[in-house]
Amino acid sequence: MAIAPHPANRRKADSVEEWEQLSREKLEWADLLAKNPRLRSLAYEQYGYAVECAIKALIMRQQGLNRWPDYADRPELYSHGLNSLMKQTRLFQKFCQDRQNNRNLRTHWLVVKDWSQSRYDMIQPSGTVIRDIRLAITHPTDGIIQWLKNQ
Amino acid sequence: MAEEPVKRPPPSLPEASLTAGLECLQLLDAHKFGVQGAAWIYSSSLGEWRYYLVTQLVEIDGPFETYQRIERLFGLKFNNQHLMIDDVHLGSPNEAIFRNFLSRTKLDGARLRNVTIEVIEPIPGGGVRKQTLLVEEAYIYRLHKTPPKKEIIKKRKAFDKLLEKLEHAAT
Repeated sequence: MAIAPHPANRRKADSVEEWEQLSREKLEWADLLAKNPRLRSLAYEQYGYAVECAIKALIMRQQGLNRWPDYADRPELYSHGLNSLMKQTRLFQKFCQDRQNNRNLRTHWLVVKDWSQSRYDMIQPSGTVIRDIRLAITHPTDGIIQWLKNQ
Repeated sequence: MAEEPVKRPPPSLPEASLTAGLECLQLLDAHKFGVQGAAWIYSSSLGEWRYYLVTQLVEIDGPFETYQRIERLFGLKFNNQHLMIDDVHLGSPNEAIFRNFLSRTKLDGARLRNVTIEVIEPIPGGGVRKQTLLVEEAYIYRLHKTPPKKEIIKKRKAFDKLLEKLEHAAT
């Protein structure tokens, strides 16, 4: 059965709520893709985008932005590097402190920060890799998205 | 989403980082951690140097368990300000970039420049999409083909035993 490209892959967000919504959609899309062992590389990619969107929501919320800045004004925000984006939240020190005090959060971030686009291609990641990145993102207490939401 | 990548010329990798990367690999080897490869790779799309440890354990045990093992060893034996656990990235030999590197000869100790890698991904519903990755610079300490799974698991068990002994001695 053919699956149409998900709209979340084409959209850009301009508010906290839109980034959060996009993050949720990426997560749902990733979960759907992860069910097919031949599409795990795409699932892995979408899990990373879910975190990227959640970080961008936090940046907007924290900095009181009423729209997503243009590339010319804030080129540093136009990155897929999760570590670089996390530094833009201005909560990086707190994040380091929280990781210091929470071993699971620390390891979850180590797993998540390795994400990059197109990391895997024709040879799919194992189910274990998918399980770990999913848990690192969605763990109800020590997951990265939960930490971002709590700030 | 990010449409325009941040473009910066690659900064040179500090000598201290290069040395720390080698020391980390030697430490893991000395404790029988199954590392197939290690490298510093500069990614222009991310605008940063990344230190990679390439191990099939990422696929077998998952990155979570693998990081916890490395972190335990770092806590006991590796205290280097030029390479901390946050600077380590786990790579899988299945990844497009490492498979591409492995297809080259004379890789150990090599410095690669401007390597273009074509990534081909299946798309839902059939067909493929192509993307091009550019590795502007990379220092490869070592990158070997993956040994049989049995061998990797045997090594990991030996590593776990050594780690337990070290932790016991430290308490």
